[in-house]
Amino acid sequence: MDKYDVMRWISKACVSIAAVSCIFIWPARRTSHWKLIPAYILFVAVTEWIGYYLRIHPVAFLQNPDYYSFIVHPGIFFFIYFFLYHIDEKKNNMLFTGISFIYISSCITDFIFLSGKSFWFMSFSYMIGVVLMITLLIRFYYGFFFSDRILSFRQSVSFWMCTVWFVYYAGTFPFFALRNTLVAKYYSVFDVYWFIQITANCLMYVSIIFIFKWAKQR
Amino acid sequence: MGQTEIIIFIILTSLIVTIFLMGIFLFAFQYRRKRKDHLNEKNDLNELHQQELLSSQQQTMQHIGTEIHDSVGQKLTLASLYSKQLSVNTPDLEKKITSIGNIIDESLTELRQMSKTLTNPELANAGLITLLKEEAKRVNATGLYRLTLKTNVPELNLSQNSKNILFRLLQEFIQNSLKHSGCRKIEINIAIASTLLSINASDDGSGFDTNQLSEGIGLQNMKRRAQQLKATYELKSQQEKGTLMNLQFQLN
Repeated sequence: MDKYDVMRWISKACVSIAAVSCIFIWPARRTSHWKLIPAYILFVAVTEWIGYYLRIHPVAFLQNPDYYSFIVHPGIFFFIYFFLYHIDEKKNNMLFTGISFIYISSCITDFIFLSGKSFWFMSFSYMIGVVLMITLLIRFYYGFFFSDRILSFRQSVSFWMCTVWFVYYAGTFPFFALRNTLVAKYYSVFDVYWFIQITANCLMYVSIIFIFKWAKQR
Repeated sequence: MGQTEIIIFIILTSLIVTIFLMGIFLFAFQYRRKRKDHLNEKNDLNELHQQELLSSQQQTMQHIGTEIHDSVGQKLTLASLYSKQLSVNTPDLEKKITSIGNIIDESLTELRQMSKTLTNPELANAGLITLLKEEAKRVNATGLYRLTLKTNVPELNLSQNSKNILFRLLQEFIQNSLKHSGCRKIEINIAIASTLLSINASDDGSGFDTNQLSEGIGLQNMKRRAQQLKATYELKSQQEKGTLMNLQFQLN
């Protein structure tokens, strides 16, 4: 087991602990849309363990990168879009339908036209998904900062959830945008950044436990 | 190709860092602004609430004062008149009737005094110093007590709200001293230094142990009124050493 495997195990452990903790905290939070956080974390935990299994026992019809690009990432993104839709004050259906449509289109493009090809970035649909998510998060922050909700940011689940997502997905965006190039040409940069991103991943899921436990509903 | 990728990497990283920093800056700026607005709004509402409270208190006092004067006062006047018209041949009974008449007259005088204190038509127009001078005159007229007012200003320029609260607070102090302390002298010192108004009121009464005596309605009222003014309020008292109240109020 090398240092990467150790970090992967720590990451999986953090997600699993977060999933179990959130399930235990769930009864106190079942009155708002945030009640689906345990489902979101559980989804991440289960898919991570399946991904780990596929890594050890590869199956011909489902390669590990495809599994992440077409099953894990869409699942995570749609969960996050769902939460962002529910915390949106105006419930802009058109915007969220459009965002979902763009993301699904990028997945189809990825699957049909870009499958098997290598680019600078890790996955086309992942990059599009992150850009759309960051756009929605910035939109949320804009509304939040200019409303009175900012005064109670300490107790706001929405604010803290968006912050952990923003920090992780925006912070690791340059890494995933140039992941393949970094692996091929700048391995030392990749190595450092990889540890940073996986540590950020662990911190994100651990933070979610505390947010879910201590922050108020909205 | 290699250089292009480095440039893209640098641009992306810089962009993300810039967004982070802008977000933090905007958050801090907006939070402070909203918090300030919120506090101002809260203060305005609080002030409005205090004014409404005071206004309704004044109205209630006015109403009670008028009722005492118009209703109970009239009935007692009538009772006094009837008692004087009564003529009986028994000297013992006549003495008792005269005594009843005197009691009614005394009650009437006290009621009129109370009615005047409650309605106090001067409260709306006169300044605090004038009102306190009137109060001193009233207390000194009894011949039993001596109320002295010392001040380094001819009159205070206070808002109606502040003036009413201060007057009622000092009235409460005077009433407490007269009723409960057995004092002979009361002294009120009013001084202005720059924008700070200092009021010291003291009596030479029996005093009380501030640690042992639970606060009655009068003392609670004084403290509450001082809080309404956002004034520094201190009440010192020791048994057999009188009572001293110190009030400091920042003038706008």
